[in-house]
Order: sequence, then C-alpha cells, then structure tokens
Amino acid sequence: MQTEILQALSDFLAWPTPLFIILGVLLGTLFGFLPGLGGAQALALLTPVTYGMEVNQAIGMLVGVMGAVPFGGSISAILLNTPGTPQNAATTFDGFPLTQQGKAGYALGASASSSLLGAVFGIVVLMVLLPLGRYVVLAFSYPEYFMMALMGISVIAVVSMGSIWKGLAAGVFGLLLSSVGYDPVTGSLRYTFGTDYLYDGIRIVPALIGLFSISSALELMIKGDSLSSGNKVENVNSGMSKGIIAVFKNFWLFIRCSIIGTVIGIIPGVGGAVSNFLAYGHAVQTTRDKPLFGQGDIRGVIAPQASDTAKDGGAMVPTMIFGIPGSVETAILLGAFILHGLQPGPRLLMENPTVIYIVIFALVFSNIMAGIVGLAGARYLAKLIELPVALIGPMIIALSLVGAYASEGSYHDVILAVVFGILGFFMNKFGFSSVPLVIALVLGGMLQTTFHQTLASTGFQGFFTRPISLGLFILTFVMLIVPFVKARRAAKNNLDQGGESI
Amino acid sequence: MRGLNMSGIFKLFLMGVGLVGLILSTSYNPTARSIPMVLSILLILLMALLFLQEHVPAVGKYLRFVGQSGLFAEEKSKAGSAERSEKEKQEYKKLYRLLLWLVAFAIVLGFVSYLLAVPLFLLLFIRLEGGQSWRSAVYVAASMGIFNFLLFDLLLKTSL
Repeated sequence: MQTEILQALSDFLAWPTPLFIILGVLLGTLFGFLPGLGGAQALALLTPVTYGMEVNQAIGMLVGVMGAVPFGGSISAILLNTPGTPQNAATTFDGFPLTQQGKAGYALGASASSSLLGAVFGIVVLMVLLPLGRYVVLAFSYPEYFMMALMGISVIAVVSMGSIWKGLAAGVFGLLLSSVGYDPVTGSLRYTFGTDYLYDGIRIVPALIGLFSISSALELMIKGDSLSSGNKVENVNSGMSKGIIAVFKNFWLFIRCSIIGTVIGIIPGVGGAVSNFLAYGHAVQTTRDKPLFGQGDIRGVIAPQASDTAKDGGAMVPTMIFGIPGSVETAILLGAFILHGLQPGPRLLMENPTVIYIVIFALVFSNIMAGIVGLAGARYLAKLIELPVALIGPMIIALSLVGAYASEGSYHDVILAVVFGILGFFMNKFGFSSVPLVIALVLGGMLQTTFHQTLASTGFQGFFTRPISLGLFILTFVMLIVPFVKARRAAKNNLDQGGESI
Repeated sequence: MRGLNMSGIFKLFLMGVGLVGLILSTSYNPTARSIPMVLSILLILLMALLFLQEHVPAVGKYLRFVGQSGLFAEEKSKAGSAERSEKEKQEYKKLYRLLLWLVAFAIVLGFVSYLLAVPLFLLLFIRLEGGQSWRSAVYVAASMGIFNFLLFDLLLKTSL
C-alpha cells in the first residue's frame, strides 16, 4: 500500500497534472458560484474535453471541479443570499445575515476552513475504509454485485427529493436504456434500430451532457433574466482570518456535521442538499443559544459547509470500492473513468489502486486551492452574477454540443446530447429526477451481466442463499417500504388526533 | 379524466417507450430478452399507475399511495391555478423557441465547422432571442470562437 501511495503521489505531482487540477478548481468555483449551474454540469461539460489528456491529468481536473464546487456555491449563498448549488441552500440562512452585518469576510473565512477540513474528514474516512474494501470485495460475487446495484438504484428513488414512484420509473427507464446495444451475455443486438452507432449502447458522455448541461441551460433561459437577486455586496475581505479560526472554536460541532455529511455521502444518490439541511438542523437542535440562528450565527455556516464537503469523501466509498456511484458527480466521474479505459469498481481497487489515491490527493489539493481562489476572488465573482442569462445560457449550449462532438468526433453524439437534453428538461419539469436514470444507465450493464452470471453459476436461489446477497435484498426491501410505513403512521396519528379533538 | 396536459403526455410517451421496448424484446432470443422484457413491463405499469393517479381522479383516489414522496422530498409552493396556467403557457412558448434554436444549431454543426457554427449561433441567438445588443453578441461570439479554437484545436489537438 505504501508503494502505491508513493507512486500515486509521484504521478499526482508530475507536471502538468497540478496545473489541470488548478484549472478544474477555477472552473468548479465558477460553476459552483453561478446559480443554476453546479458540479454535475461542469463535470458533464469537461468530460469530453479530457478525452485527449492522460488519465492522471483528466482525473485531476475533474476531481478539482468536484472539490471546488461546494465552496464556490457558498460564496454566492453568503454574499448574495442565492445558493450557487442546491447543496448550499442552508448556508444562506446565516451566511447572508452575516453579510448584511458587514461580516461577509468572517462568513467566507469560516466557510473556507470548514469546507477544507470537512473534505479532509471525508477523505480520512475513505482511506480508513479503502483497505477494508479489498476484503469486502473478495467476499462479493455475482449475486452480491447484482443486489448492490439493485439497492443503489432503489435507494436513490426512495431518498430522492420527489415522488418515489417517479424515481423508480426513472431508474427503470435508465435500466431499459442501458439494454441498448450488444447483450453482454449472448452478443445479440437490442434496440439498435439498424444503426451501428448504437451497437455499443447509449454513450454515457453525450447522455450526461444532455441530461445535466443542456437541460439546465434550457431551464435557466426559461426562468430568468439574470442570475442576480438584486443584492449588492460590500466589505468582502475583512474578518476572514477570524472566520477561519471560528471552526476550531466550534470543533465538536464541525466533527458531528462532518460525520453526517460522510454518512449521507456513502448512501448512493442522496446528495449534498440533504446533508446540508440535516447538518444545519442538527446544529440548531444541539446548541443552546438558538435565537442567534437565522440572524448571523457563524455555526450556521460551519455546519452545512462541513457536511457538504465531507459528503464527497463519503460518496467516493461506494464509488471506488464497488463502482456504485455515491452521488451524481461521482456517477459522471465514473463515466469519465470509462472514457479513459478504466473499469470502475472492484477491479479498479485491485488492479489500479494508484488511480484511487490520485483522486484522494486531488480532492485535498482542490479544497485547499478552492479556499484560496474563492477567498481571493469573491469580490470579483460577485459581479459575474449580474450577467444576463441570455449570455450565459447559449454559451453553455454551445460548449455542450461542441463538447459532445469532441468526445469521439461523432456527429451522432451531438444528436444524442440534444435528445437527452430535451428528455432531461421534461423529466425535471414533471418531477422525474435524472439522478436515478443516470445511475441506472451507469450500472445497467453490470446489473444485467451479474444477473445472468448468477443464474449460470448458482441458479436463481443464489440471490437468496448467500448471506450478503440476502442481506442486501432485505435492506433494499426495507428501504422501499419505509416511506409508506411512515406515511401510514402519520395518517393514522392525524386521524387519532382529529378523533380526540372532536 | 382531467384535460390532458404536457405532464400526462409525457407519461404516455414513457409508457409508449415501454410498449415499444416490450414488443421489440419479443424478437430477441430468450436470454437477451429476459431483462428488457421485465423492465419494459415494469415501466408500462409504473407509468400507467402514475398517469391514472394524476390524471384520472375516479381511479386516482384509490391510488393515493402512488403519490408517496421520497424521504427527503420538499413541499412545493402552489400558485393559483389561473396564474400558473398563464405562466406555463408563456414558458412553453419560450421552450419551443429554444428547442428550435437548439435543433437548428445541432443541424448547422453537422454541415459547417464548429469554428464558424458556434460564433454564428451565439451572435444570432444573443441578439435575436436574447434581446441583447449587437456589441454584446459580437463580443461573446468572438470570445467563444477564439476560446474553442484555443481549447480544442491548439491545446487538445482534437480534429473536429
């Protein structure tokens, strides 16, 4: 393991990898800062651009984006009362009041340090769990991987922000789309409609560009004239060092919220918005001087930001160990891995562990750089938000389609990106989350292959006679019925209370 | 049944996708068709339940469980139905125009080099659809054209 870490460090430091990470950080900070955009869009846009790069440089750049987005989003949340990404929503509650009190620098400093330290916490958890991951991977066989993938897709639907049934439908739709192309077992062609472009299935990169980048550009252009909510910003730089130290004065709160973020990150598909609110709620419930929350309490900035970035380390756990994406961003990262010839999952852990350590180093470095860049550039970033959407939207569309074309030089990728862009827009509009679809698209091949391999090796009973597989099945079942049980109990309680009041 | 709106049409579209998937899967060998067939049937069933629950009140009242939200779902604010439908009409008009622009740009990309297609699209879109000044349009179009050239041709050496 030490050799692998040293090799990874050497690859990480080899020029121009650090330069690409810094570029990723700059883009991630920008995309995180601009409301309506975020990590998924930035990653989807950048993935085809990395096609000509070496693997280390590509991974560095993409992870650089991932690491920078949470802090970038907090800048607009604090300065402009507009979260740059959904995962920064709770940061506005106390961040913006601090700005109104002339303490913008104080809030930004606290956000920068809690983001960095939260990321480190998540990475420490990842590094502790990774060696254990090898033993877990060796205990896993075809039925376990099938159940793991099934659980990943089901859990996403259950913990999604909308309807469970719509989430499940999106997941099933994604699995059906993953059936396009050669059947992994028999080699027969399915759903290709006579076009050889589809022989290898739906290409993940243009699909992601469409689902995230093009659809959000369309939403942006339909919704608003500008990204600004009309707030002007002053006094950005003073008090930053005091803010940086504030994390250490509230260290146990920071640790608890980092744990929340890490655990949420490990659960596939839950996302930063949930950890953001949970951590803020926890901070409110566990501190004594509650009246200050919502009026500019620095703990209201530390708590959500720590969990936001700790979530990234947590999301890497299922991604690296099993190849099951823990978040939308890691799903896109997996797509990039595939583009560069890396097979995510247990084989990556066993055969290419240096790649995983490069991801870890890049996450730490990107959070450090994001703090520096964000704190230095916050004042200038605040001006960007006054740009009209009519300028930003078409730029994103143009970059998206050229990026889709650039990934493999195929015009069909442009068509695919447009189709998925329109599909993604309508899915979001009518409450069907794109996240289950993306994760199902990424996992669909593995799901089908392991299903047939299980049938061939142990028969159908193999899913239920192996203890880990059975345990995962039961867990999936429980996760699926919990919301219904809770709703039923709540309805019964309401009925009982209504009966008592009469 | 309530008047069929875009949401209902979208659900019917996904149901249609499931139906096509099911019909086509019957022509594949048994191993190849097993999973797609199951998925297609599942998709049809799920979309049928969602459609009935939201658009057919007589049946929907028995399907309240289909409206179950996820564990972390938010309550969405509900504007009055009149102002919502007027706002939606305007949004759909804008959407159709944007989709036309998107498709036109994609078509032009197929015939003309991206170095020309991108600035042309940006220039026309920002001015005609975005209502911005010619100066802004030219500035953005030229900047993006130069940026694309630097990034894709010089830095990445991608032959497009």
